[in-house]
Amino acid sequence: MKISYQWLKEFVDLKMKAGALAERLVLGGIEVEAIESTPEDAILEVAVPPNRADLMSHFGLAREIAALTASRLFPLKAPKIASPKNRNKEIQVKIQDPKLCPRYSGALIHGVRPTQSPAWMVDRLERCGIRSIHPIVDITNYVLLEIGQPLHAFDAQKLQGSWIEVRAAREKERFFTIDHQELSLNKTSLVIANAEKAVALAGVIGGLETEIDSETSDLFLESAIFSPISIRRTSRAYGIRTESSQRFERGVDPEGVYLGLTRAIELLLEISGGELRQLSNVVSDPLRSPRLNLRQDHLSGILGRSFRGAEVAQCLKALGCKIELKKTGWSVVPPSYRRDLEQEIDLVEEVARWKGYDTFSEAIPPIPFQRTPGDPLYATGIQLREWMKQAGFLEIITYPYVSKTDLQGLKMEKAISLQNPLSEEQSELRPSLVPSLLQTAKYHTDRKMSDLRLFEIGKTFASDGDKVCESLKLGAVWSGLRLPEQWGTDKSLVDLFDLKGCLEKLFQELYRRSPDFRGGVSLPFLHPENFIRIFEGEQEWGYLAELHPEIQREKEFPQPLYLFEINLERLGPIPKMREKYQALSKYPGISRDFSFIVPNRVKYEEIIRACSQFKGGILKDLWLFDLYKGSKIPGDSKSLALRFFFQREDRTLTEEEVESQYQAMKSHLTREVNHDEDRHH
Amino acid sequence: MKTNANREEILDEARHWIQKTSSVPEWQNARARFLGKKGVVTEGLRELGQLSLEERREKGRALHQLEKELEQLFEEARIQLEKRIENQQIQTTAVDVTLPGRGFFRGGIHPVSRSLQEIVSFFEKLGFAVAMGPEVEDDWHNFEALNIPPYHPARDLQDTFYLSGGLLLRTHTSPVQIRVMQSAKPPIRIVAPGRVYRRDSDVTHTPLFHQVEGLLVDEGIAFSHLKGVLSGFLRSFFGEKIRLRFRPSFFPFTEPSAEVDIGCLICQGKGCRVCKNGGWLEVLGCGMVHPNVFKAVGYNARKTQGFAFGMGVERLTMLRHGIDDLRLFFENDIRFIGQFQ
Repeated sequence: MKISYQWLKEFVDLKMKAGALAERLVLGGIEVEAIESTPEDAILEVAVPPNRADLMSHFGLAREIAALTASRLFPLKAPKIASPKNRNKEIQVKIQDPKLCPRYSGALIHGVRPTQSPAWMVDRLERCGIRSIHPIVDITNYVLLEIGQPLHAFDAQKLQGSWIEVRAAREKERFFTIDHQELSLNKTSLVIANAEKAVALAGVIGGLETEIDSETSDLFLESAIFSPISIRRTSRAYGIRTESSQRFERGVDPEGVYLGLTRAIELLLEISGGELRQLSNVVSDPLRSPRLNLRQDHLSGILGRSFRGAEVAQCLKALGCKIELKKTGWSVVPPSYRRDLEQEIDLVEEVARWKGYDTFSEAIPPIPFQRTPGDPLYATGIQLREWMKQAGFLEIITYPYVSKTDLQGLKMEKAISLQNPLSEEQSELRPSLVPSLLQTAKYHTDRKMSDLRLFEIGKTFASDGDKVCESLKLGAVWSGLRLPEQWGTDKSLVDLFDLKGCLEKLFQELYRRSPDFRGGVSLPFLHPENFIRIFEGEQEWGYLAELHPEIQREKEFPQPLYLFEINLERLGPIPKMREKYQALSKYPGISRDFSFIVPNRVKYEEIIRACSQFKGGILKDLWLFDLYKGSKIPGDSKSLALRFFFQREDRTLTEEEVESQYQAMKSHLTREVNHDEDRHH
Repeated sequence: MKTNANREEILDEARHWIQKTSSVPEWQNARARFLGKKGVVTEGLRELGQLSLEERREKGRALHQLEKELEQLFEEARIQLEKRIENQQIQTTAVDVTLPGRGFFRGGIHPVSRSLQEIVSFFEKLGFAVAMGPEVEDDWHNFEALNIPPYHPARDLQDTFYLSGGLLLRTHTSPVQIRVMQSAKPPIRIVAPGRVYRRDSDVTHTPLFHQVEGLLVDEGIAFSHLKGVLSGFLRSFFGEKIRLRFRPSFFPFTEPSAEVDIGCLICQGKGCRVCKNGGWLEVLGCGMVHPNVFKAVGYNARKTQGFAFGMGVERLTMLRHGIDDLRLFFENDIRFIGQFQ
C-alpha cells in the first residue's frame, strides 16, 4: 500500500522525516518496504500485517503513528451534510443474513452533473498509485485511502426497481464484473442484487451493468461491512483481489461505515453537485468491541519483565482502549477499529510492541539435566551422510515432483498426483528416488561430467488406501571411472560389485549387520539380470542394480549407471555399539589355497554354500582371491581361487589336521560342484 | 713374508685390491687372495712346520697379527662397500616427489544439510531434542491447529500443494509442534528440522525448501528467553559481532510474534541490493505460542506458556556463504556441491 508522507501530516503532528518514520514503523511491526522520495513528497510502500485493516488508510496509519510516537493526532472533521428532506425510502435495502452483512448504509443522490475531479484529488490518488477515472469513482477511492472504508457507487437508473437485497448468490448465477469478466457464481458468495439479478459481488467487485459512466446523473452509494470469511471465500473462489476485498477480509471499523459514506457525500455534493434524496443506515449487528481482562502477572510472565501499572495504562490508552483498573490488572475495551484485539494475549502483544522489543533483556532458560532422546532417524541421517561422503559420494537434494512422462519412461506404477501442480513437468510425487537421481545424473552427463557418485536421503510417496505412505530412503547413482583419471592407476569403470562392496561395508560398519544379497525378478527400469535385492530374513531393505540398458540408451548416458535404493525406516536407526569383543587366538593360523575350474553358470554362492558345512571347526574364514576367465581355460568356464584360513583358540594346529581338513574340503567341493554339473548335463 | 717390512707390503697390497672392488663378489675374491685357503696367511702358516720352535712361535705370532689386521681391513671395506651399494640403490629407486598424490573421488555433504545439522546441534546443546513429522499432512495439523482457520488471510502467505482426500504437503515444519504436543505434556523442548513445500517458483522461491522449527514449553518461559536463545544462535551461526534486531510481526500461531533481522552481511548496514537498501536482513520468525494453539492440543491455555521459532535453512545458508541464486541448491551441480566438503 502506498502512503503519502504529506497526506499523513494532515492527520498527525509529524516531527520526524520519512526515513525515521519508516524505521519507527518497522520497529512497531509495520513493514515499510521502500521509500520513494520526490521533491514535494515521500511515498512509503507499507506492507500491512494480515490482521490490521485499521492501518490501511492515511488516517488509520496516522492514528497508529500518533500512538507509537506520542504525537498529536488531528481528528477527522465530521462531514457537514444536510439531511435529505424526503423521508421516503426510494430504494429499500433488504438483508437476507445479518451475520454476513452486519451493517449497510446507503445514499441516493440525484442530478449529479458531469465534471472533472479536482486537481488536488487527482494528485493525491496518483501519489498512491491510483489513476483518476471518473469523479464519482475517484471520490470513493479517495475516501478509501483517507479513512479506509470501501464504498461502491451504482448508477441508480440502471439499478431498476425500488429495492436492493444483500443475499447469497444462486447456484450458477451469471455475473459480469466491471472489468468485463463473466463469472458463474455459487451459493457461498454474497451478492448485492436487484429484483432480477446480482449487480455486485458484495465487498469484492461491482457489476458491469450498474457501472457509473459519463452519463450517470443519479447514483446509489453503498457503504457496508461484510463478513471477512465470506469476502475471503469469494475473493479466493474467483481469484479477484481488490482494494475493497483486502480491507473487508481483515475486518474494517464498524464506526467507519457511516462516516465513510457521509464523507463521500460531502465531497460528492461539493464536486459534482446533485441532491441527497435518501440516507439510510441499517445496523443489524453493532459489532461491539469485547471487554477483555489483562492480568498484570500474566503480562510480565509472558514478556519476562515487570511493568509499572501506569506504563501499561498509558500504552493501552494511547492505542485507543478504554480501561478500568482491577485488583489483578485491567479491564479493557479496545477501540472499534481494532477488530484484531480479541483476547488477553492480543493486549500483551500491544504492550510489548508499544514498548519496543529492544527493551526486553536476553535470558537463557535453565537447561534440563535429563535430556529427552531425539528422533533416532535424524542421527542416522547424519551418520549416513558422513559415511557416504567418506565413500566419495556427493549429496544432492532434489524436488520430489516428477512428470507422468518421466514415470512412464521408467515404467513406474501410478504415483500420487498433486491437485494443483506448478506444471505438468512436476505433477506427480515420486514413488522412488530413481527419477530424481537420473535427472541429476543427466544434468551432468549432458555437460560432459560422467564420473558420478551422487546420493540423496529423501522421502518417496506411495498410496496406501486413502492414505499416503511416505518412506525415507537412501538412494545413490554411481557411474564412470572407479578412480579419478590420474597417473599410475588403471582406467577401469565401476561395476555392480563396487556398489555391492560399498553397501556391504556400509551395513557392516554402520549397522553391523550382514544382509543377504539375492538375485531375483528385476524391476522394469533396471537391468533384468544385473539386479540384487537386499534382504534380512524376509524383510526387504532395498536393491542395487544396473540401469536398464534400454533406458541408458534412451537417456543417452555414455556409460552404464549403477543405482541403489534402501528404505531407511525398514533398517531402523543405526544402533549404538554394544557388542562384546571376541578374544584373539594366541596361536598362529595357517592358510591353504585351492583353485579350480568350474562352468561359467556355477554361481559363487553355490560354492560358498558347499563350504558352509565346514564352518565352525578349524576353518575360520575363506574368501575368493582370484577369478580368471580367458584363453588359458575353456571358454565356457572360469577359474576360481579360494583361500582357506584355519586356526584354533586352544592350541597350535598340527600340519596333519590342517592337511586332512583341507583335503576333505577339496574333495567335497569338487564332488559338490561336479554333482551340480552332472545334474545339468 | 719374512720380515716386518714384508708385512707392510702385504697390507698395502691388500689396500690396493680393496680399492678396486665395487661389488660383493669382487670383494670376496680379494679377501680370498689374502685370507682364503691359498692366501698369504694360510701359506705362511703352512710353512711354519719347517721352522724351529723359537722361530715358529715368533712367526706364528706375526702371522696371527697380520691375519687380524687383514680381517679388520676387509671388514671395514665390506661395510663401506655395502653402504655404497645401498646408496646406489636409493638413487635408482628415487621418485619425483613433486608428482601429484593418488586420489580418490571426493565426497561432499549438501550445503543445506550442513547448515541444518549445525543449526540443530546448537539447539541440542541447549537440551532441545530432535522431532520429525510426516511431510504429507492434513489441514488440521498444518493450519487449523496452528490458529489458521479456513479462509484466514494468513493462508495467502503459504501457497499449498494439495493431494486428494484433503491431504497436503506441509507448508512449514510447525505441524511437528502440534504432533509433539498432542503426544506429550510439558515440559517440551524440541527442534524439528525438515523439508517443506510451497506452490511457488521464481528467482527467490523454490517449491521445496528446508526449515528448522523449535518449541520450548515450560513453566516461566518468557519472551526474554526467546530473545536470549535466538540471539545466541544467530551469533553462533553468523559470528559474535553480528548486529541483531527483534521487531514485531504477525504469525497466527504466535503472539507476541517477532521477526529477527541481522545487520546486512554484504554492506555492513550501509544499504545494498541484497538488503534492498534497508541495511537489515530478515533471518527468522518467532514468538510466544498463541493460546489458541495450546487450546487446539488440549493444554490449559491460561496456564501454559512457551516460545516457538522457525527459520529457512536455504536463506541462512545463502547469507552465510554469499550464495546469490537459490536455485543452485536444487540444480545439484557437482561443481557447486563439491565446494562444501
